Amino acid sequence: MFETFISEFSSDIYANFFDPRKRLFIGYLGCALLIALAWLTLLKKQQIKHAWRTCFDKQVWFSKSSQADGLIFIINRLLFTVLAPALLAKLTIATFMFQWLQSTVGYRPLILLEDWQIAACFTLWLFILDDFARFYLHYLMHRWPVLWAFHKVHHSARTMTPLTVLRTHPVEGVLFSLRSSLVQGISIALFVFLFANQVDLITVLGANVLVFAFNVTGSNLRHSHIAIHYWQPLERWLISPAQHQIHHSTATRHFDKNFGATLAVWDRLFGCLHLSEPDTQLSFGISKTEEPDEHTLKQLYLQPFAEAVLLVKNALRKPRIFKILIQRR
Amino acid sequence: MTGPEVIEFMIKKAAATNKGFDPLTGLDYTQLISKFAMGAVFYNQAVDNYLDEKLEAGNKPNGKAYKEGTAYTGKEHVWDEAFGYFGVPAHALTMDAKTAYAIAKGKKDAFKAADANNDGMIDLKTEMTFAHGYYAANADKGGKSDYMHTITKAFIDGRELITSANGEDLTAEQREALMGYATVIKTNWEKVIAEAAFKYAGSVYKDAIALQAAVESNADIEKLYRKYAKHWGELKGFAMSLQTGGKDLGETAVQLNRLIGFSPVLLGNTQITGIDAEGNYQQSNSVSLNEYALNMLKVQQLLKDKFSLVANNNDQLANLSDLADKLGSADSAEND
Ligand SMILES: [Zn+2]
Ligand SMILES: [Zn+2]
Repeated sequence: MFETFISEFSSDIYANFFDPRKRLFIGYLGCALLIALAWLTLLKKQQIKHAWRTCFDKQVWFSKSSQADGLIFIINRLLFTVLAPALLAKLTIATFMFQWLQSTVGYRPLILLEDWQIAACFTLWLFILDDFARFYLHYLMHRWPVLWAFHKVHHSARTMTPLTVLRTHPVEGVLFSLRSSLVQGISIALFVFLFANQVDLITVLGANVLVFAFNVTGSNLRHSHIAIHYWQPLERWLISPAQHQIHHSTATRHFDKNFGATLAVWDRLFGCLHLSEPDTQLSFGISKTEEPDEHTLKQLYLQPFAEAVLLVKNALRKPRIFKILIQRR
Repeated sequence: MTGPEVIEFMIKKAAATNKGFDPLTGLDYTQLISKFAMGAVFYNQAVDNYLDEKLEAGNKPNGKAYKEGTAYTGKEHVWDEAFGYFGVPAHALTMDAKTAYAIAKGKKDAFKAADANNDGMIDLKTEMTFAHGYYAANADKGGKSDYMHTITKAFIDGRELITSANGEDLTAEQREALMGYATVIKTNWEKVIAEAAFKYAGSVYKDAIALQAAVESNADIEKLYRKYAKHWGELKGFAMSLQTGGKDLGETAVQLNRLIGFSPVLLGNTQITGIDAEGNYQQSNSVSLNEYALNMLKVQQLLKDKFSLVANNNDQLANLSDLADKLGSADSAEND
């Protein structure tokens, strides 16, 4: 029992760095480093030695905030090793959806397309739907106070390294896992329903080719202090690392901007896109000043629950909201 | 009805049809009878008789010749009979599933592998693949399962154990070991039948959908219908066979019967629902071909779960799980 747990846990940790379907795959981290070095030497005219030191700035990598990132990563992986089997599997969703589709539509449509056309459609569809779902759930995490209580954990990072992407409260982790299962389950069911055994995913090293492209081009720099920005018209289509750093900024005018992961179009549609500001020095976090207990485990893991409970209690006390709840029934 | 009674009833019905197929009910008696008899006779005799009560201490003892003058003991005979019903060549362990399958299909290049004693002929008793042995090879040739070798090896190990007793009665320990081999044979044999039913449920799914599409586009349906009925006969034959192994499948049997029914769903969405006192079929309204196709998916799921199948040939939802695997685990929150 304990042995299987340990082996599952260690293979989970291993997969996070050696599975090209994961953001923190060492290959992607290597790409991010190369891009950062190129950016600093070629555009910022730093000496290579200096650029290297900028990338591995000790004040960033060994800050209290970064240490908390590491601890959160380990604790969450432990938690998810236990939780994973209980989460709704995408195959269950896919099977259910498939049967629902066939009994609702009443027949299996026969659409004749070439294999490569179907694979291209599926790969693109999955990428776009997944990116939108990420955007939208992230948007809700900021919009709904109860969800914000948990998402704050991610935003409490004062310094950012690639590992900060996994600095999340487990409640948020569960929500994102469900989101992913739902998107994948629905997409698989829909495509298999339409194209039967022809469906395939175009991959590089096992990862969706578009996700691969996103990661190879420096996705890991989104959580870093290297403010790589794009040519401004491109930032209206793709979120640059600097744009995500703006999402983490403590400046009031940057609040609730740039929720997108890869595509910037969703933020444009929802009116919350903010282009990068190459001349502004950003500071990261929720508030301007750092509280002494910001990175304690109690603050990171338990405080969100306390806040959420308080919010729900308050909401129930307010007759107006209570009325709406009753009327909806 | 008991197994033999069912077969008798089917044969009577078959006699009244043209070459064993009744287009009005969609019943292909040739398939139904051959696939069910394989269960009700071969499988039933082997697992519910020879590998069951005949292995008991007092029954066909090993300390005596099977009959006066035979060169083999009682237990040796019992064990050999069961092996004979399985239907693989005696030297099955020396060949892979593909070869065993090719032998049954009469493939020329499999001849050498089949002819174990090099006498230029295939001895139907010892060198041929047939019955469930053939379906074991059929399931295994995809490379995911190894029923043929597992079952054959248990038979051979068991036989060696009996021989090692040198014509003495088996000790309690030896008999227990022998029962162990019998259990391996029984559980895997049952899986072989379930795998065959699984495969044909997949065929019926595809046929039902093709048939409905043909009906809607006014295409020629005769051949499709015939194919659908043939596959259904095979599915039903194997599904019924699962219930002839002498153990009560309980809820699984009930669900299989409910999902598959007593006949395929016909073009007018009717199905046989019963037999009256004179032995005539009663048909009544049922589900659409599309809904019936969905039943087949449930049959596949049920068989896969209840019998822990691994070969899963013709899995109509295989692509769902393949793609799900391909996309990897969703439990890390890379949410930015
Ligand atoms: Zn956020
Ligand atoms: Zn972030």
